[in-house]
Amino acid sequence: MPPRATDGPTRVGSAVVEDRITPGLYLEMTDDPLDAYAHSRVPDVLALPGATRATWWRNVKRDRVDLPRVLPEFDHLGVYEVDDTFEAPAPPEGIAGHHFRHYPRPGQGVVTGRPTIGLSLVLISPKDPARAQELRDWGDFVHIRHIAEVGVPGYAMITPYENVTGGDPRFMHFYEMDTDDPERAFKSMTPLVGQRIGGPETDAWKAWAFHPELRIMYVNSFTRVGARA
Amino acid sequence: MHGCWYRYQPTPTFDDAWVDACRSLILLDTLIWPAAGNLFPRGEYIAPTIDISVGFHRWQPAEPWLYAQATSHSGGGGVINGDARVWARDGTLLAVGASSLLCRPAPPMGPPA
Repeated sequence: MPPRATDGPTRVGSAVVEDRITPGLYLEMTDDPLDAYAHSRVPDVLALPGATRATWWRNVKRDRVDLPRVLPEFDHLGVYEVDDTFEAPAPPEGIAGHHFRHYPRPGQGVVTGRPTIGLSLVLISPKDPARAQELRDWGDFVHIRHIAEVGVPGYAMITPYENVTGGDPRFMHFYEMDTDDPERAFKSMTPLVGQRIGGPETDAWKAWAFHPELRIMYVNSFTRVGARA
Repeated sequence: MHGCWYRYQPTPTFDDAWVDACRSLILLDTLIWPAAGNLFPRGEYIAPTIDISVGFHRWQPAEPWLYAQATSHSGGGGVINGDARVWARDGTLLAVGASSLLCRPAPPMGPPA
């Protein structure tokens, strides 16, 4: 299990933590029609060195109002599994790109053996970049941990990533789901966590839901439309 | 497979080596079920451990956070099998275990006798 953000994978006389997550993910966000994106843009990105697999997704709760959003909303999401040799391209007009590297801590949750057909995409940043580690520790040891412990139906692995540029959005929490109704699973999550740690009036819930350094950049749910290796 | 960070409360660490070992033992003993149990409807089954074997490899009594990962390899005839490992935050492998669970329908929930 890799110990720190700056270290590579660590082996301590044993196999590393089972972690089937790819070294990096390159995301593209667009309002372009999805068929056109899949047919024209996906092959271009997959042809880049280090890009190994692409999936494309539809936003199922566009313009949600229940959570803050800093990044512009979008209809469609391209997710590219990439290795460490990948360099993010300059995206064409109408497409925003974000390149993330797997944060060197293991994901949490379950591997169900079923395909990932839903996503909850969470992008956050620290208010003060100098305190990014505090936010990362909160994400891993408080926020994601309780969600993984609850075992939310439909949720699978929750994996932390970090922006390769060190800029915004600094961290991505990549929630894989094996349900075709990811928004329903997402909506069920907070009440289930509340049942375990206490409701919104409790200190435990507030500590789980908020951190002084938390800036929510983007949250939404997606269903998978297509994939190509 | 189930993986998660854990920290005991209200006391996360213990100086006594036997008690410290139990921090790992409890995780190794209990997490095979969530590794397999997500395939079952909630609350309809129970799966107590019927055997467990654990190797304690390293000692980090000052580390409050433990990452535990459990994998269930087999389930059938009412018996679930799996193994699990516990790491410290710096990546040190602390303990490895394997166990079998007897899986049975949960008894009906009713008022206390």
